[in-house]
Amino acid sequence: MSELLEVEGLRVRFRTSGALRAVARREDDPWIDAVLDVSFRMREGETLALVGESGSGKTTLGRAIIGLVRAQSGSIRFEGSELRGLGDRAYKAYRREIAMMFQDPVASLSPRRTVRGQIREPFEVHKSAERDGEAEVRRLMDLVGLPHNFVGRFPHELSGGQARRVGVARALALSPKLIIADEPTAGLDVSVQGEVLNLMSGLQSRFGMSYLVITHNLPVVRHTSNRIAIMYLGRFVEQGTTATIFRSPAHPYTEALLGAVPRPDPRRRRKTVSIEGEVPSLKMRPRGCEFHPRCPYAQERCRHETPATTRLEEGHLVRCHFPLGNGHRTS
Amino acid sequence: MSAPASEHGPGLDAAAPAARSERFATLRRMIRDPLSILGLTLVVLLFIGALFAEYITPYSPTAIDVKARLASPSFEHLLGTDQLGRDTFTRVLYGGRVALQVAAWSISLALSAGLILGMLAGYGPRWLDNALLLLFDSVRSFPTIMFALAIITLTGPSLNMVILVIVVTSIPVYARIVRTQTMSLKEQEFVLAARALGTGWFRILRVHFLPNVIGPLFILASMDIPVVVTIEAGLSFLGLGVRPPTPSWGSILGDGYAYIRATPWLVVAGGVPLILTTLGFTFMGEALRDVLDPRLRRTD
Repeated sequence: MSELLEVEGLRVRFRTSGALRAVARREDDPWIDAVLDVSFRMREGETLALVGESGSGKTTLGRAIIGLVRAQSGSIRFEGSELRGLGDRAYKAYRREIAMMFQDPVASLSPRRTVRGQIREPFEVHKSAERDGEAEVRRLMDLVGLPHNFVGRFPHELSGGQARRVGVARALALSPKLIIADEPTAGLDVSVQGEVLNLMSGLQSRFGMSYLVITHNLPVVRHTSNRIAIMYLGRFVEQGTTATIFRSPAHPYTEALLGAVPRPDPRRRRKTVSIEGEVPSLKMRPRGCEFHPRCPYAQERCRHETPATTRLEEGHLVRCHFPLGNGHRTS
Repeated sequence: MSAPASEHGPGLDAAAPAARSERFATLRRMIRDPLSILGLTLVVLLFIGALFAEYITPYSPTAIDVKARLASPSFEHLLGTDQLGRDTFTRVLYGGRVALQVAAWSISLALSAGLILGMLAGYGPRWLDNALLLLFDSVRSFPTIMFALAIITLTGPSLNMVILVIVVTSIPVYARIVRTQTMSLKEQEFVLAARALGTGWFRILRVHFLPNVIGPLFILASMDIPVVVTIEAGLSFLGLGVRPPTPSWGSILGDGYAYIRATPWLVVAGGVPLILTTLGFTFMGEALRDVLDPRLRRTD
């Protein structure tokens, strides 16, 4: 399997206040880093899950990859060609290959267009009208399990799950190689969540595209993703295969996230690792390890020294001075 | 792949024909409200009167019949005659033609220009927005009538000048409404979704924004028609609108004002159509609002 997407040292910055105001207030740094020094690779047919709390930069990272948000530095290579810094016109070619599904299933559909219009939009934008439009719409609706009599409906006449299916159909339309799914299950009730996830993995085994799933919901990714990357304050704190992450999390943050997932086993008494406090503001990143104010295992070194990314085993990367399992838990 | 369609219950298939007849349902809902019936009737009557004036009345609006001047209503002259013996009913019909002409031209020009400028201001870069807002506010700060008087004093009275003045002063109103709507749409996720598909800004405005902003604009335009009609009538009343032989409700009113001691019928003939037009378009605008705005649409 070849590399589909390679992201190296990606950094996305936002300006918090206008340039003039920043000078007036003598702020040294009017910028915040929403995504900082993120590197990862994705292979064809693979599902990578980005997991993190709200504000951890996972959505921004997804949007940077499809070019909706400008990345300041680093590189995004898709099938070997650099995407960062491309203009809208040059990006358009890659938007056939990369599709994105957005968080809110209904709001991400154009309010005054019918289901037919929503699904046809990618064909109209990319001028691929050579195929029979109506038949394409029906084929896509079949793929995502929408009855044909829905073609004339407007978004406000759809339920969340139906709107999500329209979103999936639209993402599928141009047979992309990568689909970025931002919270594909948000706002859906649990049974519909399951249906959407099954639909997505069914389509993956059929067409072999890759998914970059952005979520805060660990159980959602457990059965659908091959690898997981945990984000905290815009950085990847840990990445590894799904099995590794769930079996032996190495970063205290990952451990705490896993601890927050309820398990349906009354006999099991688990050590709950609680994280105290709130996510720090991106404007005031903690010194040293950015997780130290909330880390139950924080030591003196964590307060001063920023940890580098270390490789625990093949494909398991963690950014922590004292990775769990071979560090302080024994002490 | 087996279609996991368990969430669509059997009831949804029954809803399909209902969706098909929705167009008629909204029409039926419109008809149910007596005020909107009244509005529609008045507007339709006005249009028929203006469009088919030649067939409705045997007289010419400018034919002078001095023997029958200032006559009271009779079967011969339904609304009497004016000081030159011209049939007032005929002049009211032809005056409606002028009123509708001015309204149609000025509203449609102002609407299109306001639509384009408003969408550009709302969707475009910040500097463009600021520049256009400054322009809109400067134009808005002229009092309409004063502006019209100044322009007409410079160029002489004509129908085109009346239209121009109305267009210039109403563009900012439409543009501002469109701008606000565009700005709120711009923040919604479907814009990001469209951009992620590679949709360009022009297509976003044309395909995705236009249908959303045009509904409220039509409602506003329909309610603005009486305002435009009264501006035209007002200017014609002052002798600054249409040139004298051409009938206008304003000039009929003006004549009636001059001959009020001789006959009350001219004032009535000039004034009542103005009132009815205002009522008609206002009621129709309200009915349109209920029909065109799907968020106000009740699902009963």
